[in-house]
Order: sequence, then structure tokens, then C-alpha cells
Amino acid sequence: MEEREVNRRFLFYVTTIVYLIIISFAFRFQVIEGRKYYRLSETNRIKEVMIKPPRGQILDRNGKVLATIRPGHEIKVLPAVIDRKTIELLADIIHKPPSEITAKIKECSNPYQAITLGHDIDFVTLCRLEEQLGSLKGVDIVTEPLRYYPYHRLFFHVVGFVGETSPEELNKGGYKPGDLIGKTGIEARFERELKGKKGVRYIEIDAHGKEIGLVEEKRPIPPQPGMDIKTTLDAELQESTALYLNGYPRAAVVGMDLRSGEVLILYSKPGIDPNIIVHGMKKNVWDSISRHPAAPLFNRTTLSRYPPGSTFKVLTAIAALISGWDTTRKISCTKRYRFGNRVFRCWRRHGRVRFIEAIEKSCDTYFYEIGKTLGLDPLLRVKDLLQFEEKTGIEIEEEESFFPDTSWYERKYGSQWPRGVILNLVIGQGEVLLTPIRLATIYAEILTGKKITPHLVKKKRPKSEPLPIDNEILKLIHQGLKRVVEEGTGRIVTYYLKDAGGKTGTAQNPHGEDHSLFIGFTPADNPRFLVCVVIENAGHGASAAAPVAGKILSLYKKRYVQKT
Amino acid sequence: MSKRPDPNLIILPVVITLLGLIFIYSASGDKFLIKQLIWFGIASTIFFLISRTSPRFLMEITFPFYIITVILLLLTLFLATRIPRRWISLGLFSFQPSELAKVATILMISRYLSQRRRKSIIEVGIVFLIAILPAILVFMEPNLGSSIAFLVFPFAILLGDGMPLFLVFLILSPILSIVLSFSILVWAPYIIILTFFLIRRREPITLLTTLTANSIVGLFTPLLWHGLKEYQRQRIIGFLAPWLDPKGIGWQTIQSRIAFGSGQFFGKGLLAGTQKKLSFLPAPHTDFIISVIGEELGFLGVLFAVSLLFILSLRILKLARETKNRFSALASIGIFSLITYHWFVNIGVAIGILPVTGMPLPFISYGGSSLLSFFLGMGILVAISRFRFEH
Repeated sequence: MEEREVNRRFLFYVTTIVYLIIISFAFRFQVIEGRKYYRLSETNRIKEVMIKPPRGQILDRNGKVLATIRPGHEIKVLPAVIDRKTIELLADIIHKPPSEITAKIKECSNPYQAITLGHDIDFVTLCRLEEQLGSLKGVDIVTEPLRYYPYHRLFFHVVGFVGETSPEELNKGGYKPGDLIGKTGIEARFERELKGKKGVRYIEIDAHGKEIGLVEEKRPIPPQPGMDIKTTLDAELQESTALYLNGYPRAAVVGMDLRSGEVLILYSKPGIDPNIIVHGMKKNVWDSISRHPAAPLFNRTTLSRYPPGSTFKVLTAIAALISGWDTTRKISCTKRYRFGNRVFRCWRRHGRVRFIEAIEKSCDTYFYEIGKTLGLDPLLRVKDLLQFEEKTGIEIEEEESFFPDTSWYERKYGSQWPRGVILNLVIGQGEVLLTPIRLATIYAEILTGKKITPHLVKKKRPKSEPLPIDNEILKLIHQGLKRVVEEGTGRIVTYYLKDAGGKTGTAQNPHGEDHSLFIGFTPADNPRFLVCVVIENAGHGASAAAPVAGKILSLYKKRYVQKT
Repeated sequence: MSKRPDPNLIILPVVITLLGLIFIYSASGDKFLIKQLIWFGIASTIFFLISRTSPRFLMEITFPFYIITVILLLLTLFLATRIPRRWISLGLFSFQPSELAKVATILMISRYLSQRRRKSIIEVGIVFLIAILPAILVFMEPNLGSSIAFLVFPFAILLGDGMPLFLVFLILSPILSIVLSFSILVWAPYIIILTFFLIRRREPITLLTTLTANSIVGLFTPLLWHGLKEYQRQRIIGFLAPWLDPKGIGWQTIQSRIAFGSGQFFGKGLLAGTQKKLSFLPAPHTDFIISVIGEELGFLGVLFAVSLLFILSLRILKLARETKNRFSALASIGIFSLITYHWFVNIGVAIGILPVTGMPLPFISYGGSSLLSFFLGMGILVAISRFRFEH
């Protein structure tokens, strides 16, 4: 064949091969890998926009709302559309310098993605915005669910509050910047239940990120609202408690059903209104709150540790009884008690006192004698039996309590530590520090003879174990506590109700006036409800905390005992 | 005596152009459609006029035509205000002389070769000079893709004229040398093997010229690489590793491939392509129009469009084989290579198997200059077809 013919045939083959290459690549990209490219084209054009789920409510035991959601308004701005004039007008309405808005607009990477300029704008601003909306280019007002606490500061510590996710919280997954997350209290503890599940809306965007509209063929997934959390709290009791504490700037009250451990009152004072912090606040306001000397952010019921004062004496009494203390023995109280070359004082001259009277009258001398006779060991045994150094297990943030042991003293004072410290310890002064929730739990356990875990939300729990302490001993203590109210230091309670028991306490405070403590329960014989009142710098337990506790107990009785 | 021309040469380009008009409308709307329709009117007039002429007439106008296009290319370089300097503005329309120059170069080479009996190294050299002159001018615009096209035609025409394949390989060998020169470890063995073969052929002149050419380009390519425009280098890099730079030049390739592939077998439906509608697809009515066809009509649509172009190429090749006149045959081969090279490179680029060069898809892409040039080419072929049995 002629060379020319060979070459022209060659060109024919080359063309055919080129054609087959193109077609086979087309087949590969469109038929074999077509689904992949189809998916890519869909992800290209479809932007998934989260729909925030409404957060679950937090309710009290009677269904009263402690935390809920309300509609809020936020200002959204499209950087691609907004102009100079609008920025100036907007700045005037929301009382911000135009430069601040310009700076925020410059920060954004996609000018077609709306940015939020102001959360939860107030009513007046909202009205002015609505009025001017026609001349505000690229500005829109969008409703968003905001957290609302109807009781304001009343449940601040126990319910807690939500806030925007911090960078560390974002790493936990499932959160986007701007999402709300429970920061403290029940809001934090039950975050998983409360938060709900986000929904998705599919929006078509072009290559510049400009939103074209909803994608018709992909239906939005509605958000799943968060679960409501029903707590054991009683809003009315808590409200009255706050009322009874009027005049006292700093206090902590725990009220619980001592048979079940359900907490009805958990009130710490002072608090702040969570509504002002949940949706952003100025840094200087936050700083002044967090640095305030009264520590309003601090939950005194579970995080503050107080010397229990005379309320501790029941533990000393138990320590004595398990060591075989002769309860008929009488000890003479002369207001002064000599130990070595130190003199310890009782708060008054009691004369000759028996065991049960020592509890009733809160006679320090009697307990000094116990401490001197038995030493530290029986108290440490009681600590082991009741495990009162540990956290109680309540659902929210909690501090451990503290009780010193021999090695602690040796570390502090050396091996020749002064035994006099024990005499301080037996009357609840000195190194022992208990949180109000722990103190309440100790009393609940003594009065029921069972291990108690205080809790804020009902759930199935294992049956509580009995305390490893002889019932007769506990009965005797119970007897003493009844007498405290009947005719002892807590008599003032009878002014509010007869059917009660309790124990006063005065915690010495090196920084100022003594703290006033009272733990009361009702009914006296078959206790159902227990309240632990700690009022800072209010002097004697009998004078400040006991009347408050009396009022609470009386109200409880009216609400719960007489009803049934 | 003139015969009835091959009707395929008239019907196929018109059908392909109509397909193109649909997709120009789909890709970029009626504004571009109307402009292209006007161009189609001009192009078909020229097509008709040229098809009425004879190969003899064509041969006569070849030289002035070539000279005029070269002058136009020069004018473009001087007159154009913006880089790339590709267009001459004619008021309402602007014109790209490089498209016309492709046809002129093909005719010029065909005319020159048809007047020479033998093909020594000198004739081959002159053929390449004819192509290199416009190629350089186009390269200076700068337009890398088209300047390469100018160098493809002489090969096709020389092959069609019966030049041995081995010689074609030797001429092409400097290009291989360019590719391999980026790694001395590959280039050195290549030169050694080449030398070995050439010594066995016992042709001292061939040996000398081939080796010299290979050595020079092999040594200078790495230097020239740094002389390329940044965006040209980016294109080459973007092709070699398009996923490295998803928002840069590679982004075009990725989006085009996504548009093309996402049509799957049946396509998303005419006018329903999301990639082009939402401007993910760059240049949807010009360089990447096949991806719009792919997205909206799927594999079936692509198969249809590419097959039409393939059949057209084969019909031209058939014409070249039938034609008795040497000039006509060579010009046919040249126009065959023009059309085939363009559709292959355009589609190859759009589906991401070739580097981005910016070549129009014959008869389909929006653009008056290319449509006009392709129809000019077709007009020449119809004229040739009418006289295909005359010497």
C-alpha cells in the first residue's frame, strides 16, 4: 500500500481512538461515577441550615415553670447588600458606633451569609427598627428562641443558666458557635436531655454563596424539642424561703423530704437574675458580678463549707454512744471547762446535765467531757460510718465536706499536736467544715436510719441501705432533737409550729459575726421534711436561723401534711 | 466538472450548530443566543459563498489570505488594549484573528506542499515555518492553547501527504524531550536511546538535526518554564494536581467535571443543570459547554454530540482520501485536524483529562470568530467536495 494511504488510515485510527477515549471517559464520569458527581453537585448547591430546637423546660414538682423559652428578636445583616447609609442609620437605632458594625461586616468571609448584629433587642429598639425597616437595606429581624427564667434570681443557683458555647465546649461535638449550652446547675447537669435535636433546612446557594431559596425536593427535618425536666423543687416553698430571709444578705437553705432525699428547697443568697446573663452581657457587668465580695454566682448550699457549730453535736453524741457512753452520767457545767492549762467555755452555766439534756440545751461542757474522755477515734468512726466527708451525690456542682483526722493534725502541728483541738471539734468548731447539703443529709440519715442521696430529679434508685448504727442510738438522738424544740435551744420554733424537732448551731467565724444555723424537721415523731438553714453573720442559731426554719416547717406542714 | 457535494458536510455542521444554540441559551440566556444567531447568519453566508468556489480559486487566494491574517495578528498585538490581546474590536462585535489564521495557515501549508515534488528536510522546515510564524504571534497574545494548535496542523498535513511515521516521530521527538527534560534522570536515558536508533538508521543529517533539536529544547525548557506567565504555569500545575488548589484554576476543572458527571446517564433535563445555573461552572457557554450538555442531557446527550463531531471528522477524512487533487486533499486533512483537534482538546479539558487551554468546541461553543472560521473551513471542504474527482 502507498505510504499516503497508510498514513490516512493511521489518521482514521487515531481519530477513532480519540473518540473512544472521550466516550469511555464520559461513560466513566457519568455512568460509573455519576452518582458521586451528582452528590458533589448537590453538596455544592445545597447549604444545610440548622433549625434550633426549643430547649426543654425545667419545672418544679407541681409543674410550675422554672426555666422556659420565649421568643427573642435578633438583627441579621447581609454584608453583600447593606450600604453606608444603612449602616449609619442602623448604628443610630441600636446605639452603637458605625465603625463597630463596619468592623463586624469586614470580618465575615461570605458576604451572602447573614451575620447577627444584636441578640435579644429590646422593645423600643425593635419598634424603631420595624418603623425604619423599609429604608434599611440588607437588614432583617429574625425571631429566635431565648431562655427565660420566670422566677428571676430565685432559682439562680439550683436551676443554673445557659450561655453561648465556649471554644472548649465546641470540641465536645454537636455544638456550633452561638448555640446555647447549660453552664451551671440543672441546666448543665441535664444538658443532654434539655437541648433537644437540631432540625435542618435545605437552602439552595450559588457559587458565590448567595442564597437562592429553599430546595423543594429536600424537605426540611423539623427540630426535636428538648425534654422537660421535672424537678423535686417546690417553687412556693422556695419563694417563701426567700421572703423569710429578708434582711439577711447571705444565706443558704436546703429543704428535703428526708425519707426519699427529694430536695424541695435549694436556695442560696445572694443570687442574680439569670435572664440578664443568658443572652450576652457586657464584660464589665459580668466582671463586677463575678468579683462581687458577696459572691452571688456561688451556690452556698452545695459549694460553701461552714463550721457546723452545735449542729455537729449529734455526731459527737453518736460517737459517744457507739463507744458505750453512760447516758445516765451527769456532768456539771460551770460555764468554764479546764483542759490542761487551757480554759474552754460553755455558752451558759447549765449546772448538772444528763446526756439527753446536753443535746437539748446544747451544753458544750458535756461534749468537752466526751471529747476529753474518748479522744478523736470515735468521731473518725462516725465519719466512716456516715461517710460525711464525701459528696452527697446531688445532681449539681458540689463541694466535698471536711473532717480532720490524726494524720492531718500531725501534718499541721507535728506529732505532739495539742489534744485541745478535739474539744473544739466536738462542738463543731475548728477544722470541721460541712456544706449545708451535707449537713441536711447527715440529719436525714440519722432520723431515718437509712443512707440518703439528696436529689433534684426523680428517678429509679436502688433501695437505700440502713445505716450501720444501732437503732436505739438513733432513737435516743431523735429524742434529744425533739426536746431541743420542745424545751431546749430551739424553743422559738414552737411559735410557728409545735410538731417539730431540730438543732441549733452557731458557727464561729474568724472574719466577722457568727453564722447562724438551724436544722429542723417535722412532724416531730415521724419526720417527713427537714430544713437546714444557714444564715451568714447573723449570730446565734436560735435567734436567726431557727425562726426562719420554723416558718418554713410550718408552711411545709400546711402544704403537705395537713392536706393528706 | 463539479459534482454534487457530500451532503454530510452541510447537514452535520448545521445540526451541530443548532445543538450548540440550544446549549448557549441554556448556559447563558437569550442575550448570547441572539448574538450567536447573528454570527450564525454571517457564518452561513460565508459558508455558502466559499462553497460555490473551486479549489483553483482557493489556491489563488491562499497567499493573500495568509498574509492578511498574519497582519491581523500583528495588529491585534498592537491594537488590543487589554491582556490577553486576542480581540480586534469592530464596534458592536469583536473578532479573534487567531481563529481565521488557523484556516489560512492550513491552506498555506497545503498550497506550498502541493507545489513540491519531494519532501526533504528543507521542505519540512518551510512547512513548519509557515505554521510557526502565526503560532508565535498567537503565543504572544498570549494564548498557549491555540499556538499549540498551529503546530498540530503541519503534522497532520505532512502525515496525510505520505510522510513516514518514523519521521513524524523524529519531528515530534523534541516535544518528548521537553516533557522529559524536567527530570535529568529520565531525559539522559531518552537521549541515549534516541542516539542509538539514529546511528542504526545511518542518516547523518537526520541524526545531527534531531539530536541538536532534542538537546536544545531539553536544556532550555527548564529555563523557559520560569519565563512562562504565572497563570500559564498555574494552568499546567492545576492540571497535574487539580485537587491541590480547589479554588484556583483546579477549581474550574473540578466544577466542570462535577457538572459533567452529575448528569449521569439521562441528565438532569434540558435547562435544569444546577451547576451552570448557580454559576459553579465557569465559562458555561464557551470552554465548558460540553459539561452543560453532560449535566442536562447526561451520557446520552454527550454520546450524541461527540458522535456527530466524530462522524464529521470521519467524513472529512473520507473526502481527503477521495480527492484526486493534491492541494484539496492536503487542505481537507488540515481542516480535519483543525476540527478534530478542537473537539478533542475542548472536551478533554472540560472533563479534566487535559490541561485547561481555552479552546472552543467546534460549532457548539459561543463565539463568532470560531464559528465563522469553522464554517469557512466547511465551505472550503464543500467546494473541494464538488471538485473531488478532478486532478
